Amino acid sequence: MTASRDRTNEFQSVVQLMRGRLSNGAASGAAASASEQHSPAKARLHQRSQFNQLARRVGADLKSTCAKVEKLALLAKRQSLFDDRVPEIQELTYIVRQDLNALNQAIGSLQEVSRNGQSQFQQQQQQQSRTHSNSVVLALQTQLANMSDRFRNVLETRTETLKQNAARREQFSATSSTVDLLAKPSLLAQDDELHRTSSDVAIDMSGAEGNWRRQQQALLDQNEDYLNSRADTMRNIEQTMVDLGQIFQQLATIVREQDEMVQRIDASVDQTTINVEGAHAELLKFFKTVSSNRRLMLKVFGVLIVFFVIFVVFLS
Amino acid sequence: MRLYSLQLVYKQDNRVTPLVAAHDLSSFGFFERKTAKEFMDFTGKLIVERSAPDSGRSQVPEQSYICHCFVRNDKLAGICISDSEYPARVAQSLLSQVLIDVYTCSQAQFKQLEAELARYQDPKKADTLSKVQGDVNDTKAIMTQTMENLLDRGEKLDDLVARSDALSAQSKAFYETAKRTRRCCNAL
Repeated sequence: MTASRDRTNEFQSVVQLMRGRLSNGAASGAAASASEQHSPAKARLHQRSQFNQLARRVGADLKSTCAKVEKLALLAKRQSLFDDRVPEIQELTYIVRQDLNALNQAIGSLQEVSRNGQSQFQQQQQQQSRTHSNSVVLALQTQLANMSDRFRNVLETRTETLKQNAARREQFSATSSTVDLLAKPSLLAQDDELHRTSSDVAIDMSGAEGNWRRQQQALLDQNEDYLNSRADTMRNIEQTMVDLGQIFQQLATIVREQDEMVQRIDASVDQTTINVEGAHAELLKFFKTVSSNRRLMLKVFGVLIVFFVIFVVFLS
Repeated sequence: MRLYSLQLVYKQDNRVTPLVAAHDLSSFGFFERKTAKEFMDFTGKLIVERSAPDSGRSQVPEQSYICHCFVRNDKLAGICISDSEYPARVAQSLLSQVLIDVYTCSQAQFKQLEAELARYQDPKKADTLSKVQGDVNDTKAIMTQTMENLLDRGEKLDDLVARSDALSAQSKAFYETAKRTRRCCNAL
């Protein structure tokens, strides 16, 4: 909306410029007074067009930075446990911060231009254009403030997500990642400071304080690193021992189950032995009866044949 | 993974007096050894000079070496120069150990320092934490192997149960047949 208003003004100024140029070219000789009369107007127009161009550029930059902030918000929200797009997010954060800086400076220069342009001329028409440029600058500043607000929210959500991820990772693997979180709060603190002490235009991005804090953190980190690594090793050892305990218990259970199987095998084999022994005995008896029966049979048959013979002799 | 030198110094208001030092220069060429030794001493002294009296533990990486430094509160400081693979934790614990032992003996300290340096060349064996961790890991590997063996045994036992069941059934059938044979074919 800012851009469209600017364009109309610019069109008018361009038209007047062309008219002035035409009149200048037509009356070149006696155009001293005419050119003098036109030159302040031309200068004024020139300033107006410059202001409008700057404002338009600032508006376009604001829009693109807004889109980037939205993308950053999306990325920060969908941080899952394993799909970490950390380098992208950091790059985007850096780019957005640069853009905010540039926009800051651009709006500052815009304000300068509008103020300079109006300080030279004291005519009644200037009143309207002054209010107009003031409102333009104000609108741009409010948009910038809104966007930096949103940027800060995005950073906060990202810290939240990181913390949640770390908690979930700790739950699953029982290791700590305290060092990760140390960097993020200092970043946020930096952002908080610069947003708290900022007027809308003079957002002071002094990184010096943040650097000192980072150095202090690094020193503390080095001192704590040794203790942290010892604690980590201890935790690892403890975890391995717990695992070992579980393995031993499982071992005992499986051995007890297998004991039952062994006893079944034992019983079956015993049964088999008994059966085979019994069958063997039966067969022996059978063999004995078979071998001993023949004598009996012979004797019995012999008696029968004698009886047969007597019967036949007696009857015939 | 090697340690190159171990030095103890006394830091007193920006002046550093070296007390004892031990070096292991076997990885350098014969002619470089002297310069390497001097360089390591100098680096150690410089680092202790530049570090604040209460900075505690710090690591300073050089080209391919890391210089571990431990400045204690009672102005004693220890420097240990190792290559980049040596675990920092073990180096720092070595420094703490050595600095504690300073108070126990004075004359035989040099030999002791050499012995400690030689012992800590293999970080897995010397440092208690690493040793325990290594042992526990080995035990875990052995136990996993045992579990696998046990599961194999279970499979074989299953097989044996089935076969012995079949065997006992067949022997029973054999016994029945024998009995029947005796009963029925008796008359013949």
